[in-house]
Amino acid sequence: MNKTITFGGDEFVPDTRGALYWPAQNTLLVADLHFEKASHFAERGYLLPPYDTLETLRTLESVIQHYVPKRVIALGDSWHDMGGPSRMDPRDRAMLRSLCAQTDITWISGNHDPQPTGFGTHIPKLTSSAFAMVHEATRAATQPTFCGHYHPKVRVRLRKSSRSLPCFAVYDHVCVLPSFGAFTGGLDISHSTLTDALGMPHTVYACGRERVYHLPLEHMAQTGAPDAA
Amino acid sequence: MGMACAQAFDPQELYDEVCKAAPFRELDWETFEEAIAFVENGGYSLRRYDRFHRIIKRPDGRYQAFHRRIEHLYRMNAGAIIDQPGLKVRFRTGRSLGEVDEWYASGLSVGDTFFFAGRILEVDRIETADLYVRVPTKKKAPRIPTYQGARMPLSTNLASRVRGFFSSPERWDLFPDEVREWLELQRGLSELPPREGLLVETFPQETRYGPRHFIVAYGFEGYNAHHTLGMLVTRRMESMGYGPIGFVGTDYVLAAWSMNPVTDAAPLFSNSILEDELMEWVAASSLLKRAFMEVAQISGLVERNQPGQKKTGRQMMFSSDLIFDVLKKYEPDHVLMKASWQDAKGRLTDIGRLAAFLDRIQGKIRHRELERISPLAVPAVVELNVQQVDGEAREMLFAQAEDLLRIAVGDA
Repeated sequence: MNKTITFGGDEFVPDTRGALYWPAQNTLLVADLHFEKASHFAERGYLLPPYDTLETLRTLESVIQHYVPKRVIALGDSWHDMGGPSRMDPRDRAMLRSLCAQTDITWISGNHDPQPTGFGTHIPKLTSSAFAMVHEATRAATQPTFCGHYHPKVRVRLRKSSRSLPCFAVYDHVCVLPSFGAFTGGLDISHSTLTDALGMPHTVYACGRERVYHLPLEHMAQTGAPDAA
Repeated sequence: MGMACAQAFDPQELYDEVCKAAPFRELDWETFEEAIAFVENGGYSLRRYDRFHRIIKRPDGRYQAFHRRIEHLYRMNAGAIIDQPGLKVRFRTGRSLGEVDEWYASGLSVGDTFFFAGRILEVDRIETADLYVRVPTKKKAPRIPTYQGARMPLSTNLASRVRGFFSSPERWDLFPDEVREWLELQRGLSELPPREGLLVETFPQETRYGPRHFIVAYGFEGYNAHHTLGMLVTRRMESMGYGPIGFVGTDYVLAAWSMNPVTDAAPLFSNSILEDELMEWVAASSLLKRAFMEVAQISGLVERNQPGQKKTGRQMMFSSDLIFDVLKKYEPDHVLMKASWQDAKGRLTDIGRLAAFLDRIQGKIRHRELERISPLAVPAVVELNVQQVDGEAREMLFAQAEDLLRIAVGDA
């Protein structure tokens, strides 16, 4: 069984695929799907393999089938650009429609997709009494906030090797989700873009192939320590 | 692409012209068509990009560039030459120990140990421009003993002449007395490498890590081929349970050492190692991804220069890795994947030579199980040691070499 993240007084289950499940509300959170990123580049002459949307959809389908959530909240940048929906392959479109029929998907706006895209509910941000869900948050956040945008990654040492893995980064009031899209890269949690906005996380959950690694900050300090003393 | 920017071209004419260039003389029409399709619209089996053509076919059958902006982009990246930068060998602290050639680094997998700058190092991770290493936790002998800069390999002709010399004692009077004596001893105690076929010797030998078993193959195929052969043979030794520890390739021989004695040498030099072990190795090392990165750049999938901005090498490596994973999953036969495999295999220097060598020796492997090191094996075993000790201990080695020679000759 996966570990849970305790955040804002509630429990959340991080998934290796980059989604966060909220059992109390039977809700699944995902961030930065970046649909149609490849075709966005193709328009500009870079003919990237056109399989990113399908890959992302399949992964999304697999987490939905696994947790069977009542509701899915996509934390923005679900589309790489506003032209994405019109470029979408009919087969992919049908698949996304069917996912929307299986569960209630709420789309939060991101900097890449500020406008509604014609797939279900679209809102700029979501706030309840306990939590806020936005695309981009900073340390100014006062209430427990989930966001995406930063595509956090962390360097982890696994037995023999060291790899950079997408991760959930937990700060005092903010929990940043990893990016979910197939062609999306990431930024190390120590990158200045992240530290300027949020400082250093106190806990990180890194998405390995088979399990999520729970890394308290002390551990990260260790991995950064001189190795060759 | 360049052709289309200059003026419209006819595919058949272009094909004929391309085939006149030596590197493409064996290009078949089918592959050429795939390349045209790639330039045209990506050539993916899922035909998504019909609207995003880079070149279009005119009614007269000739292709031309679709758009002025595309011509512009192409011109900024024309003549892509991917340089082969050295990788900095670093500790995690960032302290740099020096540089190794990229071809050497790309043959290493995480966890491999090698000898560099007077230390035994274990590969921690490989990044675009840095090879991160650490001191192994356990005392391990370096598997790939050392880094040496690229060398000119022994040419095929020279190699066959050297083998010829061994098998014609009547010409030995050309050699100095010492060499002749050395060869006589080899003939008496073991045997001389045959003109055709391959001599393989196995013998136990005390090392500073304890008693070990050695296997020496007299291939005379040059440093590069022996280095590659060593990678493959030790992999097979691993799967056969011999517990290989390391190897050294010289211009003349491949010497490997292991925990257990090799009892059957033939399977180690079977030509199937070029399939099973090679695939395994190419897939496990970063060779294939690296090759893909280059293919992606040359083909313009990821362009280095864009009007007004420049991606860094790091960003490029990154995105080409993601593309690689997805393409491998959805369309492993895509022309870019094929090109990457070929490049990766070609990058292993002298693979063609190795194939010819393995073919030549099949069924002609002479395996001598010796009780002790043979005279001809001494240089290789010394080399193995030389490469593991710091400069100051070299002198000791000369003494050791003498000992080895004495053991070989049998008057110890």
